[in-house]
Amino acid sequence: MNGDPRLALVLSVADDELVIGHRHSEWTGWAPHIEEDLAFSSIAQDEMAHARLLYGLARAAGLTDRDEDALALGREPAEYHNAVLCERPNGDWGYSVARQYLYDTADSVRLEALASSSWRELADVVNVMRLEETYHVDHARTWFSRLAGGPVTGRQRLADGLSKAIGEAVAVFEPLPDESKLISDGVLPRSSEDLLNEWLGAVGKELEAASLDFVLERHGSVGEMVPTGSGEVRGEEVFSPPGVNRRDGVWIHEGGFAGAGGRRGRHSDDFVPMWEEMTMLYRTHPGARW
Amino acid sequence: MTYEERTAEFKGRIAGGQKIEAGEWLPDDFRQAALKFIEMHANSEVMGAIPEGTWVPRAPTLKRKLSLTAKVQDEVGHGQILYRVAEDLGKSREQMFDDLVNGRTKFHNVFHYPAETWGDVAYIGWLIDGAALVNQKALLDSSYLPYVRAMRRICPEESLHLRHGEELVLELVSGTPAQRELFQDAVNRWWEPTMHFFGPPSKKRDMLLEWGIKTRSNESLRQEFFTTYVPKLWDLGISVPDPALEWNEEKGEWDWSEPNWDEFWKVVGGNGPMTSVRLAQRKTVWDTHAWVREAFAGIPAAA
Amino acid sequence: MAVFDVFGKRTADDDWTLVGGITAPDPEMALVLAKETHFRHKEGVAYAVRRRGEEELHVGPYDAGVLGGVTDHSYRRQEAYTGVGGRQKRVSRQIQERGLRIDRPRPPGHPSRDTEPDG
Repeated sequence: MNGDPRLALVLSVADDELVIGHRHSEWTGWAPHIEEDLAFSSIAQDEMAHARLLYGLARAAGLTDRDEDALALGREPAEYHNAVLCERPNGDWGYSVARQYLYDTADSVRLEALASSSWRELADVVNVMRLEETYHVDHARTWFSRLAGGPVTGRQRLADGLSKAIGEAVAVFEPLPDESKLISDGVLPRSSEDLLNEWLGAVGKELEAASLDFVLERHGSVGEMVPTGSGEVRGEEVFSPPGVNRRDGVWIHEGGFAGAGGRRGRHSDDFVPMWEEMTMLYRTHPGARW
Repeated sequence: MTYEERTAEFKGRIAGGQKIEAGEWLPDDFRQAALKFIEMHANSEVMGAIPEGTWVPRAPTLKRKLSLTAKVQDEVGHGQILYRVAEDLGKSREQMFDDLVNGRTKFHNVFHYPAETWGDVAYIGWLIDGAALVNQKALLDSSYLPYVRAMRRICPEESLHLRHGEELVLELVSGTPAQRELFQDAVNRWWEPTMHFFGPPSKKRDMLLEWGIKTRSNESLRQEFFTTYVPKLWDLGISVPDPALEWNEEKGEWDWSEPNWDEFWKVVGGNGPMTSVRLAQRKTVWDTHAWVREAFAGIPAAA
Repeated sequence: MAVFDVFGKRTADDDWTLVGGITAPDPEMALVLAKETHFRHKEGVAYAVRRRGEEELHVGPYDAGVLGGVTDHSYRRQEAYTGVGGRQKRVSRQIQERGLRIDRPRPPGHPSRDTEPDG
């Protein structure tokens, strides 16, 4: 891998967007409300368009000589830097909506920070992305309040989705490779831990206001995480939050992460089947135009 | 005025080329025929989203991943527009979805088939959309104005899809031999369903033509399709698996082989290769997401 | 759930024009949905919804700068496909030069239609 830590930074954001955009796009034609199908598909397209922009930025900055398709579809699984949260299958609408809410509120905090990056070109791209991300957060909050404030069945489905997703959502903020260098250069204006606490505090408040904060108290991992190339195996469901605690009325992060590893190319069991489907046609015909 | 008199007057207006606006009095037969036709059209859009939808996760470039997602999104959008028109004719969207997923209503034959390769994606995007556009442009002249307005939104989007599909085809036919073969193979498999798409050549009495909901016969639409697309296919060196297909100068129309119509009736009756699989998938999503409809119907909590 | 009529303005000086209808549980959700159901192809500079049977017009918060997208969404608009007709002619010529063109009877005065039906 390139020695420049900026590549890992760009790929972390870009791969998050590509992979979650890929997952969101699988709802096109299938969403439970036909107008929502259209809205969610636009969100999916936005995310993939953002990935495209960021891959282009990486190349323009000389961080890679691969083009957007070689980056999106031509890398090996261990070379993708997305958070594990993004690669999970869509499950039911409750999970997908919960994940969209957690991801886009997190992304919003991340992008706001990157908008003041000392890396001017990144800040510019980020500011364009934010114009579209605002709608993603609106969409998520509208669904959140509709479900949280509605019949018990809807509340339950949202809560289940949040429970499943929250642990891995925290890991969206797992520290980046060479983060201290990114911070000292001002490329990353604030540490991942700092951003995590900002996000967690805000989400905690929203969950409490909706009487859904119990999802922070007890959440389970979605499945086994078997990171490639390490000895680490995690099989059991987690019923107390790894690293999420409430202190003085505020939700904060302390210590570990569930579902971490994505930033270092360590993914869940769900990544490879997704990657195979996503990249098969591209890889089968190297050099072909489509 | 008696019902008979009102109906006769209504028929007279249509015969005179007048259009019917939303909210006007409609004879029951007209309402029934229009609703059924538009409902089937809407069903076809949402079922049509499925074969291409299976290739969104597998698209070979980022740009095509985006453009195919947008195309499938548009098809869902067309379904939304058409269900809205049908709903105003007196059938709830919930009932229409329920009927569709439980196999009680129909959708176009072409959407009962699998999209096996990217060649199929290109074929569908160019030639199935091309066939649909031939039909849909004819509907711009329909007697029922809400349907006309829907078609005015749909046709430009369909036109865009057509260009996109053509671009996919051009990439394949000017690409590697394997890519050319992908497309030729798709043509060989999809030609008969495409012929079926326009419907059988003659019908003793077409109610839809009488009411002006449809404006052109199946045969005239099929001939237009041949004229628009067959020479282009031949120019690309792509053959069509019908040895009889060629322009007949004397008759001033295309000669072609009638396909097996039993297959057509079997498919639209619900026994196509992918019919039960797709309807079952839709039914599962529909049934397991009743809670979403409930959440939408519920009274919002006090602010 | 209710039907919300959807309104748009093509230019800032236009009056609100009815462009379609959507089904939604409330005005807030209706606005979130309408932005993409009816304005994702840059169909207008402003949008609004009104529940059928009511008077109140709810105007959408996103403006022309954002409606239809800000990053590159040209792939879903005509502008990305204007070259297709020309490309089709070039590819056909190449195929002919390679001797692969299929020479069967076709309508007269019709080397190849250069436009697909417009709509």
